[in-house]
Amino acid sequence: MTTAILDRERIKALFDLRSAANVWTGGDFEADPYPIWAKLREDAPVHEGTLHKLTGYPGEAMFQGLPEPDRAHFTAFSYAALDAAYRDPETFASSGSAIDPTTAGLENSMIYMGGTQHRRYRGLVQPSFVPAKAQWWLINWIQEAVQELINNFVNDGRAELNVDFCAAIPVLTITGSFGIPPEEALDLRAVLQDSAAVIQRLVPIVAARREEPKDDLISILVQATMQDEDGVSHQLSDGEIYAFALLLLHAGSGTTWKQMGITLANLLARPEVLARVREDRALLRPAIEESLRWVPTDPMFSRYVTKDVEFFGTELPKGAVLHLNVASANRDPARWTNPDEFDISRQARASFAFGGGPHICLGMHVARAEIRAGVSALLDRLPNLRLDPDAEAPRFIGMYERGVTEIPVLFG
Amino acid sequence: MAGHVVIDRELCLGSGMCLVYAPNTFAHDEQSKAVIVDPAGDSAEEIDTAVDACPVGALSWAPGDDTGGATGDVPSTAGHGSTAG
Ligand code: HEM
Ligand code: SF4
Repeated sequence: MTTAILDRERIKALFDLRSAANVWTGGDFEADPYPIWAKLREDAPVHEGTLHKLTGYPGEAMFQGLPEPDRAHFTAFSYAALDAAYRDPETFASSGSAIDPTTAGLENSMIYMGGTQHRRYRGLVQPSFVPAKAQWWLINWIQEAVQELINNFVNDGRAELNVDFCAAIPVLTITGSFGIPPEEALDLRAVLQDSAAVIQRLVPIVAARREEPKDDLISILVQATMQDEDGVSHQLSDGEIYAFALLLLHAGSGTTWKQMGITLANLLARPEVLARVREDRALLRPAIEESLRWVPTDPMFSRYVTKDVEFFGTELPKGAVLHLNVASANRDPARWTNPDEFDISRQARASFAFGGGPHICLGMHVARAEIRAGVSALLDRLPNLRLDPDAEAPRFIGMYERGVTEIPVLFG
Repeated sequence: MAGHVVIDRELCLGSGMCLVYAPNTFAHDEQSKAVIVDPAGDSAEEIDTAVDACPVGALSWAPGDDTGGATGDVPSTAGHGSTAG
């Protein structure tokens, strides 16, 4: 394998939250938003306005459901309000317009669909993303990337884990599952905002897998069939596969990278917790879950209000956008005791880090497998792993895509 | 928590959330629908966490006389998995 081909400087430019490529989601936001969100949540479960404005972010920041200048905007902060919105996708739809799956674009992918259309697409791909498939992802695409990346710095006694390690693993996993070799993975990441360029790279792969399937995700997608309610059998067209591949690249690479960095930063900041996890790897699962609850990398997703509705004391007009502040709901004291404390021994309970309702993250078990494999391999191979006391400690930054600045570590 | 858990196969989308919180109770069949492999595989509390975690409300407690746990078809007959009623 050839991860040395993954140029360090190039990865840094592509993945640094504060770099030009990431500033559009509010990557330059550096304050701690949690006290502000706690205050807003205490004041009312739903507020008028976008999350970044309510938080005091001075510029414009983009994410799902933004900018939509012609719509009214509201943001929900409490666990109960988010739960209600997620569980009522008819009133709170994932898109403001109908989805045309015959046009191969991210805007026509599953994440924006609703009702039976969404169920049908999700049903086609769900079997490749269930927990039992995690091993398939691990062996084929995750483990080797993890080990090769560690080889790059294992003899140095120091590393910067956020970019040198966490950033590349999810990209390599997804592009690997497409059948794209690692040396081309960054090329694809670099043109991620240019869907036509990504699709161009996928065209020959999809054609080849239709000819001769292999043991990879694209092969499964070209072969997948599903019966609809009328007994009609469906298969994915090339365009639908491209749209899904684009969605995976957008939804699955930056997210998992940042969440792995958040997990590592949380553990490294608490050496006694890290020591316990090193001793007993079963604790890695609760440590990952608690990191997802405590700082979910995507703090907000949005829904479109399909009818006038009174919602937790606020009148939401039809056509409005309701932003769901997942991060605030994840620290709602109505659901968690001492919610601001990072505590890996708290009783397990679902958080909204992977969303909720029918669009709950498809890749959550792959993401968990990546983070588990990554952190565990670091603990296996880097004795006495610790933060570099002479470097700046990791800080959480970002508005709509949150992650850590850097994770400078020493070992040995 | 008297009663037992039932799975609504029509609602289940195969998210696997229940498998995260009660991995010894729930599994997926070949259609990625949740099935119950061992009604008492996890504690009633863990099973309740799974019920709460299901993103689409496909799991529910049905009233019953047992003291907790889950009931449902084993994978071999999973095609006829139990439905909420
Ligand atoms: C820790 C990492 C991740 C986090 C925090 C995360 C978070 C989320 C969230 C919150 C949603 C719901 C969006 C909504 O409600 O509109 C979502 C959806 C989705 N995610 Fe993830 N995700 C992660 C990793 C992944 C990975 C690794 C993949 C793929 C390999 C992936 C694929 C998807 C897809 C396809 C959807 C759309 C599902 C649907 O519409 O039914 N995600 N993710
Ligand atoms: S959590 Fe609900 S939707 Fe997900 S697999 Fe279990 S029963 Fe099905």
